[in-house]
Amino acid sequence: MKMTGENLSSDSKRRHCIPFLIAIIAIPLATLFFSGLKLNTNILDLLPETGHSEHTEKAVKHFTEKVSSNSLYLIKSTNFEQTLKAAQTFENELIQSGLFSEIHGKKSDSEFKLWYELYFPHRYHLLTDRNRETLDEEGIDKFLTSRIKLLYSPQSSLYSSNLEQDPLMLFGDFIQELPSPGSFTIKEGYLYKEDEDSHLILLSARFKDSVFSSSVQDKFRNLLNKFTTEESNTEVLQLGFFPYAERARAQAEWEISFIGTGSIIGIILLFLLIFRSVSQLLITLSSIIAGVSWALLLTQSIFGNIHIITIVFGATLTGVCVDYAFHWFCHFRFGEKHKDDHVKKSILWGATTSFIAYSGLFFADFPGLKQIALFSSSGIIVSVACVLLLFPKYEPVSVDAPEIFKKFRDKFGASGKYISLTILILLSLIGYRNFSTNDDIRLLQNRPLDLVEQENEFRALLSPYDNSRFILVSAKNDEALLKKEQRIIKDLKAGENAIDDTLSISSMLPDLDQQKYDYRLISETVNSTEFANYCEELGFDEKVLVEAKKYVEDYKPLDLNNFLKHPAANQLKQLYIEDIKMPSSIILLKGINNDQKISMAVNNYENAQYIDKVRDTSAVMAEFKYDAVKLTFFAYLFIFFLLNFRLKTKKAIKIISPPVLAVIISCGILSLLGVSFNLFNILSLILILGIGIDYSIFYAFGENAPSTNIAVTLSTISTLLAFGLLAFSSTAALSTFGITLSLGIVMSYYLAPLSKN
Amino acid sequence: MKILIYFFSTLSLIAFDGLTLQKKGSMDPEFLSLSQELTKTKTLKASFTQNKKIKVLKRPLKSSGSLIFDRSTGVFWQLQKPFKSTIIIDNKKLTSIDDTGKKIVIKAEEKPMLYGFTKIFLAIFSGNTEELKEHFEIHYGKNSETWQIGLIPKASGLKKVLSKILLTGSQSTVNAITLWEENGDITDIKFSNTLKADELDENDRRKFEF
Repeated sequence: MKMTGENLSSDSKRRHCIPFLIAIIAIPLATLFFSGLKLNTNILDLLPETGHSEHTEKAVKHFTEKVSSNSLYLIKSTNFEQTLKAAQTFENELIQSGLFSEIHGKKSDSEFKLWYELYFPHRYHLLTDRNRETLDEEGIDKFLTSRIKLLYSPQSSLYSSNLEQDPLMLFGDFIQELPSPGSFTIKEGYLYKEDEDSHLILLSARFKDSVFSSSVQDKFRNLLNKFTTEESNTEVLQLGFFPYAERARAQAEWEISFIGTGSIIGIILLFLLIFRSVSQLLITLSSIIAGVSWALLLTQSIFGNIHIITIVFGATLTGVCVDYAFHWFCHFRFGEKHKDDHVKKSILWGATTSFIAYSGLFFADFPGLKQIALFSSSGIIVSVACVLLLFPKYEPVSVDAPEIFKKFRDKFGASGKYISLTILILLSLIGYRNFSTNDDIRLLQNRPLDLVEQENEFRALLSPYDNSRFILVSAKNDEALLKKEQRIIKDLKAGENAIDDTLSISSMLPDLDQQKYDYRLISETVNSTEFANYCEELGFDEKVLVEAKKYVEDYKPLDLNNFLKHPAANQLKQLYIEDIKMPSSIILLKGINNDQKISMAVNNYENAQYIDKVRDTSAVMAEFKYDAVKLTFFAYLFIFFLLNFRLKTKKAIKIISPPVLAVIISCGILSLLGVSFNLFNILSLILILGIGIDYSIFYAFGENAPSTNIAVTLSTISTLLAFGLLAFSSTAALSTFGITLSLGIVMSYYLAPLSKN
Repeated sequence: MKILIYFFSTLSLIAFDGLTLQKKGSMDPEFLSLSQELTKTKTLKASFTQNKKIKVLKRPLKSSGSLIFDRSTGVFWQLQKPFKSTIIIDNKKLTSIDDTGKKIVIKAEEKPMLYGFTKIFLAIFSGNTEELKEHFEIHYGKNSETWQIGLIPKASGLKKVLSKILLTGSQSTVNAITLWEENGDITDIKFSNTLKADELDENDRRKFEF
């Protein structure tokens, strides 16, 4: 085989094409450079809506956005002093980092003052259930007796701090009955717990900016690293989105470079090995870079950002874009270079079918897939335009095809071909008995074991409220909302234990009717002779009775608006959602024992929903999967009609059969191997058609030239490189996609010669 | 979700912010031996009279009753006068029972603040100096017959409620406890008929089971 030697005329032609290539690459790259690549690493943005009403979707999204910035930290050490010191350092570092909008570490006295400010003025209409019950069922006398007993009890000082203004100790009682911080107590101002040999302090904080932002992640990682080196005897357990977001980003970044570099290196090696021409390699790489950079630019300008998963997926685009360059050069290097009509035709056909296949993904109502569809199909158009418009300006010298390719695949004779095909079909038929599906949304999530373990350790110590399962309640106004919350909570807590605990705004704030009712009870009490006797008997100053009477003349209810405005309720604000049609709120759940019971209880109410994000999204995935099957079917049908429109029916059937058979066989074999089917690998079937049909087309139009063998083989290798590497992705969805596609491509390659004339 | 877990911790006023075991090197050896003696007590029964002077009330609240203490179980604290009312504190909960038999159980994990406060209160009653050291600065004094232990809260939370506590006793028995609260209230408890034993009799043990 001769080494490449380009003559003068090709040299001058090459000069023509270089400025174009530079321009076509420079424009998108420069734009991206100046506008900056807006990476999105939030997995939630990829997911489709869960099929609830628009109102619900909005409310849930609103809430999820709020909670995604919350984080909890447990500082853990073997003795209290060390834990305390570490907690103080950690809190300081959190404050200094400027990353957080709220930090809850050491409790200050002013926090108690805030609660006092909020509730104390309204003490006469905030009764505990027990006090209300006593007044309702046993009367004023019994209620007053219970007050006297409280005064005599050892814990009286907890209630009697402001006895002159609160002679019935209503404030102390009310505040004691509010939700408490679980098993944590306060020590040195910190929430503290001793657990076997470890001493724990709990801190919490809210990120100011999105925890999916890479600069936030980097800064916080530095903080954590610095802290753990400084306080080497202490451990920080964290709960929140940060560890997962950070890991997902790191993994995606690694995968992008792994797949991207892997396939680029593969392509370079193939090129140097087969074509032995650096200049051809460079213009081919340019066509790929042009495709990918335009894809990035278009996706970013249409979606506003690019999801990192799109880029992982998009890294495989290189393997597809290079196919057309391969085909072009194979034809001119190893074929008859002056008959370039059919090569243009087959490249155009190949690109059209791939484009149709990729853009088919756009019709799945799945934000992540829409991005991938746009990214890939625009990349293909640009790459193929480079090949068809610019490559003809560059004319390589023709050489003899390497010996190995001349005879290669000619042995794929008729008889052997049909025997192996029959065996493959039989195998896949056996496989179909194992056919299974999996719609778990966690396929899309990365849940690294070490992080899950850390989370479980945290949950064992703290048992926090669930953040993916909660109840969304809406009502026509705030008052109705609080009432509905309370009724639902009552139903949930009645009877069997569906849940351990709930937290809601209404557990901190009784509705106005309730307040009015309580006010009436207290005002009756205060104006009764029993109360006068009570004051007399205990020896209160006369002014206490006078002032109490004066106080109950005015009813000063605490409404939701004022409650939420008060700084003491800052934390609870997250549960209230106002910027939608109806006021809505979230009831948080802890210790969910029976999903069905909760669902049933909540379903009795209009405008109340039990949201289980994992369940809901998985259900949507299942639904999309059926849509994907239909989409695949229509994509195949469409491409067939397109072929049929331009070609003879027999030829159209010949072209479409190999990828169709490849899909049937691959699915069977994958089932045989125990791979289950999800939305993603079903969508990969469309791409098997889109890419696999190129091979049939190249054969159908290629007149059995050895150059076709080389081109198709090279294309297959490069595609396998890209999607084979995707199979190593740590995101299960991408990995099964890669596996299914790789097998499908191998099968398409194997069966492609069936389309020969 | 977890957001509000720490939420109510803000009630530091009633909380007990103790500083752990900052052992004082200059402990009086006599106090150490007394403290050992006190903690040796396995079970104890006593009668008490309580005189609570609440600043804003003209008359003190007087009450009397009996107390059973079992180091391994907890405390049974029963008022007889002016009304019958019982409080039982064990490791996990606080149970109060009124004269009609109505029972209210407060689990330690649900109301750690209230429980913690009560636990300290009763540690004082039982003379558990080890636990007291966690929360108080301890002062000790002695004359021929009687000794006195003064307790001053260390941490700000407890300080807001209590200003000081005085325990008076002779030999290894606590005879009286006086509490001064920040708001000016004073509680004075006197013990009599104190009986110590290694084990409670069946009748007394059953009282804890209510």
